[in-house]
Amino acid sequence: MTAGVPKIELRDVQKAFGLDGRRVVALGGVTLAAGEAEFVSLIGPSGCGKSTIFNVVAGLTEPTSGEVLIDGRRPASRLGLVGYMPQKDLLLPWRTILDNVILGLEVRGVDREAARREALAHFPAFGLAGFEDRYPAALSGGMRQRAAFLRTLLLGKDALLLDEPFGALDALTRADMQEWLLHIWETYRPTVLFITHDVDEAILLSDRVYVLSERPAVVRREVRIDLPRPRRYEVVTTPAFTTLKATVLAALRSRPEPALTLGGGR
Amino acid sequence: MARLVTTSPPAPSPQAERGLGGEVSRPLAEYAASAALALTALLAWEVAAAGFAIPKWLLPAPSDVVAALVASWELIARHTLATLEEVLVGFVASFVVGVALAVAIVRSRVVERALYPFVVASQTIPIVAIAPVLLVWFGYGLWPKAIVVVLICFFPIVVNTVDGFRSVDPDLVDLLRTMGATPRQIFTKVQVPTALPYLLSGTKIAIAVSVIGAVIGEWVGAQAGLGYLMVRSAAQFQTARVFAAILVLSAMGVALFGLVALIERFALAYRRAS
Repeated sequence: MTAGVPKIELRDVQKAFGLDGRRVVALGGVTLAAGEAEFVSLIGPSGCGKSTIFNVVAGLTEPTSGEVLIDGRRPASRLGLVGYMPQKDLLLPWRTILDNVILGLEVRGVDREAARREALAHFPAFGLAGFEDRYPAALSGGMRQRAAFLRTLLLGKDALLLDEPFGALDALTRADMQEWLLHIWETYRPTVLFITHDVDEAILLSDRVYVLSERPAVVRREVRIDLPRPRRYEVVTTPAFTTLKATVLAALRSRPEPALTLGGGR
Repeated sequence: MARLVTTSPPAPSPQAERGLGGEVSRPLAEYAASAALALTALLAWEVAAAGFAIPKWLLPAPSDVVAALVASWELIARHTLATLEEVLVGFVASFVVGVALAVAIVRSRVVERALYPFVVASQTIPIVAIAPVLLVWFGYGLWPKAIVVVLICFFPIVVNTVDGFRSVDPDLVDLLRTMGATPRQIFTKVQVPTALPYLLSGTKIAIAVSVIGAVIGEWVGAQAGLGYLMVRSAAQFQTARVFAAILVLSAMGVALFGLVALIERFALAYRRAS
């Protein structure tokens, strides 16, 4: 854990839903934290409740029990406090790319022209130069994700929730985007909570990785990634990387035992 | 009158209607087939009318219709303006009422439960039956016609716009909420733009049937308008003039529809840009 108050902290967060008359427990007491300028990944089996964690942190839904702290405080509403980038790019088809990325600034009440000027300065770094006036339908998947990410960054929040942003991209684009994200993160140094189910991606990008259990999700293991920064994509072939990968994979696959202990506890 | 019965407004799905706007943009060449068909039919009609010596009062030839149009030009123009006024007043009122109802229905469950059944029920009332009552209430002037137009036109606007608001992606709403957006910002930045294509589809249907509404209103009782002119001309066996009035009415309907389609083209420019 980094020194000082964590940017985002979850303390024993539980979340249960009523679904078709049944009670479904999505989060079974999740405790985790992300420090200032730290890149933290959440990895776990699909359907384990990762996105529910984000919905709770972003303030879209309240936990059934437990606490969510932002900057060490419990705000009345967390809506508008962190930048949330969902799995789908959710670009507005009727807005140009430029007007899409300024959406958050607009919501904050920034004047449209000023917002556009601020956004334009970032277009080259995001590989979007020349596409300012195009509509989302004209862009490739990678570009759409970069636009969605720029929209998230422009919100001006120093904590970002990225929910499998590269999940829908092909392997090659994905590798490019990961390296690009490393570069962007090193430039802006936001706090990032990152959801993925790709072990390589989690290790490549993160300072720490939380391995989550099946539903109801709890943190099964926390793995510190002490690979030196700045990192390049080539790091995935180093022995240190392979060792970390073995650790994370082992934690992911150690299914029966923790699941049983959990079942007994509930 | 048989034709009237079939003119109750349909409630087509917006998806089915969306293609219509594109037709305006297509090259003229695509209309070559329909133009050829129309010309052939007109020619056959002309030849048949002359060949079988059909009396003009029974079935005037296309040339007779054009002749009537030219001869009665001033008369027809005066009545056209009267009908156009009824259509425009009725249509603008339908648009305002339709959009307001749709917003109210989408925003409040209570309003929806209270109003939606009546909105639907309003379409089961035979307009031809209610028009005489409107005549009794509002006299021979503009208003009973405008009200008939509203009764016919507001429905496709309400239904389509409600469907449009309902089709909003809930994930998009959540995204704006995480940005700290107010309900008002979510409405203007997400819900309205999502509903706009549906609203425009409903508007195209409404404008296309608005002319019919005005004519029904006039048939029941009027002192001016193309519908009134048709009734009067038919009574005088001026059949060519009846056809001339129908021709002008169709042209009016097509022109108004084209206008809305044009507005749609500009409003939804993003759809063609990709």
